[in-house]
This record gives sequence, structure tokens and C-alpha cells, in this order.
Amino acid sequence: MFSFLNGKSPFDEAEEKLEAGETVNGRPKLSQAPIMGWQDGVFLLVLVGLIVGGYYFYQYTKQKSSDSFAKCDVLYVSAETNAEKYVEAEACYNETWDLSFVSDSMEILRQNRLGAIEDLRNHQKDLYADAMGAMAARDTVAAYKVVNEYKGPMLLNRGDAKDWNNIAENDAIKASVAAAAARADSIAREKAIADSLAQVAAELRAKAVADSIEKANKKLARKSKRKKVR
Amino acid sequence: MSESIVDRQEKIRAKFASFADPDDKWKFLLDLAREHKGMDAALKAEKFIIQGCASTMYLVPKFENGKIHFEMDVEGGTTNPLISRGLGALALQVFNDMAPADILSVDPTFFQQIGLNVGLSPTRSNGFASLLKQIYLYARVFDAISKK
Repeated sequence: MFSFLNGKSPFDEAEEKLEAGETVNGRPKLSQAPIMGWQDGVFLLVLVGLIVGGYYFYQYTKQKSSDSFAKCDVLYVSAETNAEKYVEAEACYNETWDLSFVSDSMEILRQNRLGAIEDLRNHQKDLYADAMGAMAARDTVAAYKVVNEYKGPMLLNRGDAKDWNNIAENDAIKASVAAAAARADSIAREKAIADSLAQVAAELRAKAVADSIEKANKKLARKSKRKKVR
Repeated sequence: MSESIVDRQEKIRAKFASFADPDDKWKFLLDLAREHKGMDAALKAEKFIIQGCASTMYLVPKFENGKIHFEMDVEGGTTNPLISRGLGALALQVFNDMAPADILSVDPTFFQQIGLNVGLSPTRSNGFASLLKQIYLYARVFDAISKK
């Protein structure tokens, strides 16, 4: 009979192995093959590397975002007592736009705080418009008052901030404000003198009236006394 | 049958009523902003900018088949004005693709009633009011045109 097995049946080989003791649970032990080829190993390593690397990168970006937001938070909170810090807080939050990880709560905080700073800016813009309106009407005292009563941060753009500071620090305006204050002071003094004079006059008038009433009463009393005598 | 403007309002009212945490409202607006598709850059003309908004908000109306379709987008320069975009998207959820008469029938205080303004910065509140004003203005104009 023609055979590729050199006259041996596969059962013969198994029997030989059984006889040699190569068994596992009573069955012939199968030849050991590698679990995977080297290509599969490399692929698996790359995959594990990507997963681990991705996880660490995610943790890194998360930490970076958390640190950046914490820094901005400190600035924003300190701005509540030192208004100038709002500018730094705004710049800090604006730097966070480049971060690759921003959670919803971070986003809400960023949007609300930038919104609050924008409100402050709009308030100052309104005051700026008032001050410039007063300047256009040549009422430098009113413009100076608007600018100097503002205690918030400087949030205007460079050009407007320059105008604002010109009003706040201009010597001519300061002089005219001082002159206006002196005028107001002298007017107040004059008014006070006039008031006190008026008060004295009123008192004198009241005294004169009281005297004349007393005089008239005395006269009446004398008249009635004379009538009784008659 | 298409959804009526009252149904839309009720859906939004129910949504706002379901918010347990104050942050839920902001998250909802952020989601709306992220889901909102912008508009073709060619449509962004200066005449479509809403005046009184801190960010640059565009609102482009298109009157077709008796309904007004609005395209809206917000630009904030270097910032990403998500809350403003979310507010715009919320307004469109009520008013988009509605007849002018339906738009005009909506009580303008609806958004205040559901608590949208609570915690909203004055600048954004004013911007949102300007947006609503512009929507009503377009509705009035298209209503007059359609009655001619």
C-alpha cells in the first residue's frame, strides 16, 4: 500500500509516545508551539504602549488644566480685595483657551468669571463715555469726578485708558477742580455768613416784635389801671 | 404634524424645572452651544450683527413658506463664547422655523419666567434681550409682508 507515513499509521506514533511516557492525562502530549509570532508580540507591545501612554498623557493634560485653573482661581479670588488683579485673572483665563482638557465645571467657571470681568469692563466703558461727554461739554470738574470716584480695575483698551488717565492726572484739570472746590468753599463760607446774619436779623426782628408786644401790653395795663381809678 | 411654539416652550420649561443643581443650567447651555452648527461664513455680514451683544452674534433670517428660518452664530475673537452661543441656540429652539404670528404670540418674559436670567451676567442678559428684540423685529416685518 502506498503511504506517506513510511508504513506507519498515526496511531502507531501515538502508541510509541505513550510507551515513552509522553502523556498528559493519559493522552499523548502535543508538540509545543509558540503562543504568538514576533510580529504579534510587537503589535501587542505597541498597543499596550499606546494605551499606557494615552492614559498618562490624559492624566498629564488633566493635571495641567487643573493647575492652570487653580492659578486663575487664586488671582480671581484675590481680585475681590485687590481690583487690579482682575486684569491678571482675565489674562490667566484667556491663556486656558489653549488647554486640551477642560471639564464642564471648569468651562462654566471660566465663562462666568470672564463674563463678570466683561461686566466690569462695560461699567467702566459707560463711565468713560460719561467722562468724555463731560470733557466735550468743557465740564472738566464733572469728568474728573467721574474718573476719580471709580475704584475698580483699569479694564479699558490702551487708547481709552490713556484718555482716562489724562483726565485723572492732568494738572490743568486738577487745578480747575481745586479752583472749583475753592470757589465752592468760599461760596459755602459766604452762605454760612449770610445764613448767620439772616439768623441774627431774624432774632433781632423777633426781639423787636416781642418788645413792642410787651410795650403795648404795658400801655394797655396802664390804660386799664387809669380807667379803674376814674 | 409639526411642533407648535407652545409645545416647544413647554419642553424648555420642563427642562429648566428638572435642573436640580445651579450648574445644570450652564451645562445645558454649554451642550446646546457645542451641538449648534455655525453658519456659512459668507452669510456673516455686518448688517446681521446683533447690537448690544458683548460677543459678535450674527442672526440671519430667511422667510420661506410662511415661516422664518434663522441662522445664528457667535464669534468671540480669541475666546470661545459658549454661553452666548448656548443662549442663541436656546432662543432658536423656540423661534426657529415658525410663522411670524406664532413668534409674536410668545410672551417676551417667557425666558425670565423659567429662570434663565438667574445668575446670568448683565452683559449677557442685555445681549440676550437684544437677540429677542431682533427676532421679534424680523417677525413683525415678515408678518407685515405676508399680510400684504
